[in-house]
Amino acid sequence: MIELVDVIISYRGHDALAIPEASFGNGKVTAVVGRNGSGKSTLLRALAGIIPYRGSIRVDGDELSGIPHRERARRTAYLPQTLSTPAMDVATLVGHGRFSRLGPLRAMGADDRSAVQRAMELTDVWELRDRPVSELSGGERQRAYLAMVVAQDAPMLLLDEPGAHLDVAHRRDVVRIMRRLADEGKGVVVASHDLPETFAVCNEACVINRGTIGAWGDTGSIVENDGLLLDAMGVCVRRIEGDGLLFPYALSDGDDTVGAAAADAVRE
Amino acid sequence: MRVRRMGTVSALALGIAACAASLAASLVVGTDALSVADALSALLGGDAGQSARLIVFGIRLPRALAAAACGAALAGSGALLQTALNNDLASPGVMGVNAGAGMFALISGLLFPYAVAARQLMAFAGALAATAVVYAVARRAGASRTSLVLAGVAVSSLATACANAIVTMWPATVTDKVAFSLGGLQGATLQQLGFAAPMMLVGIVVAYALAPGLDLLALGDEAAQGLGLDVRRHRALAIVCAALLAASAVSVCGLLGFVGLIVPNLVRMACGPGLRRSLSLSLVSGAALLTVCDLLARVLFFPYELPAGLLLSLLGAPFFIFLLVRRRGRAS
Repeated sequence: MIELVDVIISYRGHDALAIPEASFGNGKVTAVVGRNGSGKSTLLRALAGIIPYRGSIRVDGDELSGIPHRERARRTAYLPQTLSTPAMDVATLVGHGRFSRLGPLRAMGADDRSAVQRAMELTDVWELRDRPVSELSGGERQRAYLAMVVAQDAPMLLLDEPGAHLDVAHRRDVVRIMRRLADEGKGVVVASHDLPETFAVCNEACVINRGTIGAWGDTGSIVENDGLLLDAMGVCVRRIEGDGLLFPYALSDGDDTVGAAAADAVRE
Repeated sequence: MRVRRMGTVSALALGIAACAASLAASLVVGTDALSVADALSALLGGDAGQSARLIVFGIRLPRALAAAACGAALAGSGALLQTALNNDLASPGVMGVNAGAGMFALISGLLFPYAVAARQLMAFAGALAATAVVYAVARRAGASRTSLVLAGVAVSSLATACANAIVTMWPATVTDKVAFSLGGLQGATLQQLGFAAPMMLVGIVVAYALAPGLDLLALGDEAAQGLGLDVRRHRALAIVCAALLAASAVSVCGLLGFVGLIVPNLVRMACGPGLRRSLSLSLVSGAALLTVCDLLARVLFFPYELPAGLLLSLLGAPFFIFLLVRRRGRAS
């Protein structure tokens, strides 16, 4: 559970985001949507304790800035948007997810190894475990990193564009993984500008617009608010009825013919 | 290029064996009138005579131990810097850490000619100062791999120029100017090693403690922070620790370059990343490399003696070029 009260987050010297009040709960997926540069990543970085903030951000009741680094990493796991290509194999990368849970000697125990294996199976990288990260495709690397933050086993996951670089089938898988993590009781906060995909998975959405949270609510209420989405994103969405739809939302610019054409494209 | 990776245990055993063999060879082989058989007999407690024992234990042993210790410290320092800065071109020689330490050690020789401890502390201060300047300049210049090297070149030349000025104006500060600036173990004494060794030991222990955290830096600062690493503190401690290791080596063996660059890179190529493992291997390989170089320096052109640093530069400079070219090839 992360609660924000009167938070101001600065980015490169100017105030990027002002949030009077917000909270991100466990057991659900909360989407943070907005245009490029609207401050989605900035918000996630602040929630992850990576950049400073003014005001109050409480993680499970404790002020974030006062939580020691390793303890913070046991409460929140963070997947950055830009990922590097380290010279190591996939299993080592995913194993690094356990850093905050290791003892003073920093050696992995049986618990750690089983958490790592479970995370790799969940994200479908178990087969890749001996491959060097430098030899992976962009999508494989993204899933390996996702496995790393899942292995961290924190109750809150902060994922910045986890579907970036992924092909359609793997984006579907990421959506399912997020859903499953939320069903297991974890809180997932996901920043994305891919609306159909994000709305297909999230319970709540938080729309960032003009340096603050423009709207906040359950997915249904946000989806129906055309004016809000058109203002914040430049597009709105339509719900599509039908069987076998992966993402039962299509983009629309408010003109329903366009919405229907997009809907056909998404239909399997 | 894919190199078949050796197991850590076999690589470590190989390194330790090489280290032991080179130490033994340094004690037995030499340029004096002492034959190998006499040296062996002195070493093994036979009746080789007073002078044989004096040469083996009084001259060769301190020098071999100093070579091993300095080689280990410089290689360890390089391994730490390369991981902490996530840059395989980083090393105490390239980054001007050695030059800074050397300059301050000379100043100390000027101000407190007989204080070995002062020399140690001043070398450490110089190493820290040089590292801080290089790191700050490189960050300003965009913190790319090559900007670090360029900043190192600038700081190195400045420190070396100052050191040369000191040596020119007060020639008595170093017994052998050439040996000091090229690096070598002619002047190494047990007393110096006695002061340097505890600092090296502290540096190595701290390095092992920092290693698992530093490994996370390969993922980028943000990801490492998300995993629970205090990135700034870890990096700062690693740099201080690397400076300590390099400084304690420089105060004994002068400006010895390239050990810290070559050894950790070769170790990673052979056995892959993971700082604890590569640190162990770098320490033993560095010790073996410098001991062998010093031995070769003593015997190759007998009766003349080369500074070990000269041999290392002959090996190291082409390797540095190889690293630069390989990096360029990968980036494009």
